Amino acid sequence: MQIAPVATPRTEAITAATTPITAPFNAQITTVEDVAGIDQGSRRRGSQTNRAVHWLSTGLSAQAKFLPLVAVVAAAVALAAPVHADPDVDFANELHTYGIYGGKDYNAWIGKITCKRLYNGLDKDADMSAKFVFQQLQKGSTTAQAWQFLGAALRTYCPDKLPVLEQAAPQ
Amino acid sequence: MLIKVSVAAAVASVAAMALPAVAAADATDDYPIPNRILKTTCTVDQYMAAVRDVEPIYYERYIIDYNNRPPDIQQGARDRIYWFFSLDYAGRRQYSEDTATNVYYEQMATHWGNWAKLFFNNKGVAAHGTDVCATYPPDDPSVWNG
Repeated sequence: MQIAPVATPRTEAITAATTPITAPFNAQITTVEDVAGIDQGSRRRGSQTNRAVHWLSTGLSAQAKFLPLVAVVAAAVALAAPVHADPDVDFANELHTYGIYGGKDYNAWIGKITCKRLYNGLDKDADMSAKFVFQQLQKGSTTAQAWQFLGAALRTYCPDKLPVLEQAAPQ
Repeated sequence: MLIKVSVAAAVASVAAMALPAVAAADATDDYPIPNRILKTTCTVDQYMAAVRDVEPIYYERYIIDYNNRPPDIQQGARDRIYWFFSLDYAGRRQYSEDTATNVYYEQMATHWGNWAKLFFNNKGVAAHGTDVCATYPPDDPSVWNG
């Protein structure tokens, strides 16, 4: 709603600047400062639009103004991770092989909390971890599935805690 | 005759629409505070330890929220929930009524809207937590560490 009155005159102002003959009415708004003035007149003082317009109206060259934006976009494109690098997806896929379904994010968070509980000593051994996991699985799940979940969680989210499984094995 | 009946019906329906609004803010035995929380004999620490085990994601979300509050707000929330749990059933029920009928009654909520979310906001969590809370130690401040 509030963008419309700003955007329209601005477009017209650009048109007016390039074709001054048609200007008499639109000539009242010819600079970005004028556009900023419109925005200040509205109730939303200090809005993002306002600040952006002020930024654009500073004395920097066009190149200097848009360089940060270009840099951010370039970085975002360069750093975008490959689709299969999400450990939560790998974790969910492994759980599926054990017949454990349910929400991907839910299971992933349970896996991470399982690790956290081993780190902070809340669960002191793999038996306690498996018991915790078992409580979070859907009704009808088996203890074997709880242990499979535990193994997958440790491998995926805290491999340094894998020794707790080996310590549990001889018991 | 038909007109009289229609007018009477219209008056009745207007009255029916107007009256319930007056009573809408009352508390019930399950709202805004779940019945299980009104009645549990567990301590705060017992209940939180139980929820940490049986509703770990709900617990985790609350603790993350808690950890994002300034220390004085954290302390205020802790003091307030311990105070609430020190009340008997009648006191808790009255508090439930007070918060339901006066949005400004609980000052803690003006500083942290979800300050008691782990305790008051979810009947399922309250039920699962109170089912097993008695098996946990009454005093265990580590429940606030996440």
